[in-house]
Amino acid sequence: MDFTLSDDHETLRDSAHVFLDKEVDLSPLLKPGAMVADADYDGLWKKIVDLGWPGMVVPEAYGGLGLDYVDLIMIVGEMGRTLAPAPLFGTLAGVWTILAAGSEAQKTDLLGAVVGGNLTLALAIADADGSYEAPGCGVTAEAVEGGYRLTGSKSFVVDAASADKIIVAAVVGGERRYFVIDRGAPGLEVELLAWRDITRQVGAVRLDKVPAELLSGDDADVWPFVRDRLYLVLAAESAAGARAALDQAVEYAKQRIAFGRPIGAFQAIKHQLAEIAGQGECADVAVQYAAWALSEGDPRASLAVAMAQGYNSEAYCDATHRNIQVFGAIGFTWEMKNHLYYKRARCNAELLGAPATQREQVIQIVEREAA
Amino acid sequence: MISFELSEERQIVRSTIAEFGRSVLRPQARRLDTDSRIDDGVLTQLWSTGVIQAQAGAADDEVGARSPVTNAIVLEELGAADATVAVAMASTMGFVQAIADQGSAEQRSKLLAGFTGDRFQGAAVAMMEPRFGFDVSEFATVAAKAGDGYVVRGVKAMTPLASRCSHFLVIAQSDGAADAFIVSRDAAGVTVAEPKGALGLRALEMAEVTFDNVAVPSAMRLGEGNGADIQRIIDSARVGIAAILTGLSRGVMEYVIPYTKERVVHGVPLAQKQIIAFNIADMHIDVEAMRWLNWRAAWELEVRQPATKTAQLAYTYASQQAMRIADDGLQAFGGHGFVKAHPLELWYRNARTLSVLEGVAGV
Repeated sequence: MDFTLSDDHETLRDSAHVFLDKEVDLSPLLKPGAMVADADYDGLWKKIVDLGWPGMVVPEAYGGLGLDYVDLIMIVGEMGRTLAPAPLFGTLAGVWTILAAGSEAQKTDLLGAVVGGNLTLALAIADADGSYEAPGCGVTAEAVEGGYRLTGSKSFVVDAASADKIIVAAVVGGERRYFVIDRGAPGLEVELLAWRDITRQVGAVRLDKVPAELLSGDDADVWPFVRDRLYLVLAAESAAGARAALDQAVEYAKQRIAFGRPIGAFQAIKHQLAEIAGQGECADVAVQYAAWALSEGDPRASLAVAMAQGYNSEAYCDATHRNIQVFGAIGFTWEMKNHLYYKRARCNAELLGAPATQREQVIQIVEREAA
Repeated sequence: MISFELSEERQIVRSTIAEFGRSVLRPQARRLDTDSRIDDGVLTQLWSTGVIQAQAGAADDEVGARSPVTNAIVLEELGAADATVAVAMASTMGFVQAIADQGSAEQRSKLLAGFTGDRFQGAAVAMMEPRFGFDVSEFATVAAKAGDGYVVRGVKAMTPLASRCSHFLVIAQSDGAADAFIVSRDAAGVTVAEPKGALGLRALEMAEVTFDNVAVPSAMRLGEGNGADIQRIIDSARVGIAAILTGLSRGVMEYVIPYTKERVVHGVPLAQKQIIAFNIADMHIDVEAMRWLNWRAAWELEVRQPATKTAQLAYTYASQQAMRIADDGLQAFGGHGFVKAHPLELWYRNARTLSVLEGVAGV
């Protein structure tokens, strides 16, 4: 057992830290009525492409960097720490779906384009009621000569508006399968949802006989593979976000004077900060353990990522709630970043199902192991 | 390189101690609590695991022989069987580890040999003090320089198995800082009081030990001229208790699961009620969180990184979660939870006691 991050991991994290501190500018979002459109979503992405991050989880065989999941959380954590608005989540979701479901030719073609910085992706799988359950009912696929046509709607699609191609889960022959459509295809409409986390672009898609290409994988293999990795992404964002909320609150508690003393000297404040610190340490270890388990192909990986996502999203909510409490009224204003973290935390705890969903998975896995 | 895999050796230690806990300790836990005493037979059985002897007898260059991570693994497994016996082990382990890690060559050769034999040999780090407002950053017990040695004055509280210890490692203020002194049970001026009884860990016979102007030669100052790193001893103690709390919590969870699957309420097994199922899911998540946080602290001790912050967080977190888990476990059993037919009420009392063992948790 060794909790040491390698020099490579630390270098990766530190370089992402410096880059994002320099490039992420949340100030356009700190005004009443700001929307995700104000976040320079695509501008930051161009700089991210220059760093090669779109291809970080693409295997070297397809031209990518082939980084492992511990490497991944170094970068994703920094994205979460800074609330960097960019279509990384959607592209990662698309890459993992193609890896799990695509043919060799599809992988070579699509993943190669991602690595080259010429393709952004999104994954449309949740129905309008937020369900990820198979087979789903939102979109059906009809076989036509030369391919398929998709009709229906999906919701909670992260990065749909920025994507060049969207991977859509659709029902064909009673089963859920995965199809690739062009963002500009006729019959496709993308509507941005009034998602409260304005650092992340979330939309609904409506499809009317949209031409589509089938990916060959079965759902039983695909969604658990993708979901586990997206859990890791959210858990890493949440752990780093909770740490940022703590750091900001500690800094403020040392400066703000009340009744002649820094407010951090009062137990009512310092105990809250200690509580976040404890949860933050657990969240860090949880995400590192989950990343390690995925990298090693450890049989505990699915349990580890479900626990990490359930625990970390709640810890993040708690940290950002207490963060605003420590800042008091000023933490409640548009011009402070606190509300952006609070909303990201809240949305991370819902995006792939509430913590109750992960608890159900934990129970199912524990039950299977006990049997 | 980052890795969360236990070595084969540690896996063997874990499974061996787990089996020992299940088959030997667990069946006797109720009797020990009722008798408010750990009998010599149980202590002999505990000693037969060889854990202490291996650490006391290890050569300095023996890699992994004195491993805080392995200790945390051992204490979790003992805690899952009976937290009382686990603390008895941790107490002697803490003493031996402090001597082995920080003692001078002469102290190690003179003292550790006494812990390599076949019979149980108790010893304890005497740290807690019987006063309101006690915290481990300042001790009322003092060791004043007197001639070539020291004179130790003060009272220590909640010392495990105090009447059966051969030595105490007394933490005292000396020359403005905390320091540690090895004091024989038989030294003139050492008095062990009768145990006063406690809510939990009853069999541990925790008692006050009074040091009334006890003369301690300089050779018995831990580390002799170099002194000792008291914070490291405190960090180790916190990691030890957190490991026992992790084990206790896991024991509760493992006891609750089969019961809730069998117990039918309103036509369905309890385990199918979401409030129970989610409680169990939370127990599982929290036990893992406790363990990883504590193993991180143990690992920091092992690689001699600063561990104070992580160890404190691990102890505080484990204390809070263990109380909640013990409470939820008892609740899942309903009326069966607080009768002696099941161990839930015993574990609940033990969790409550462990959580205040170092004073007011979280302060």
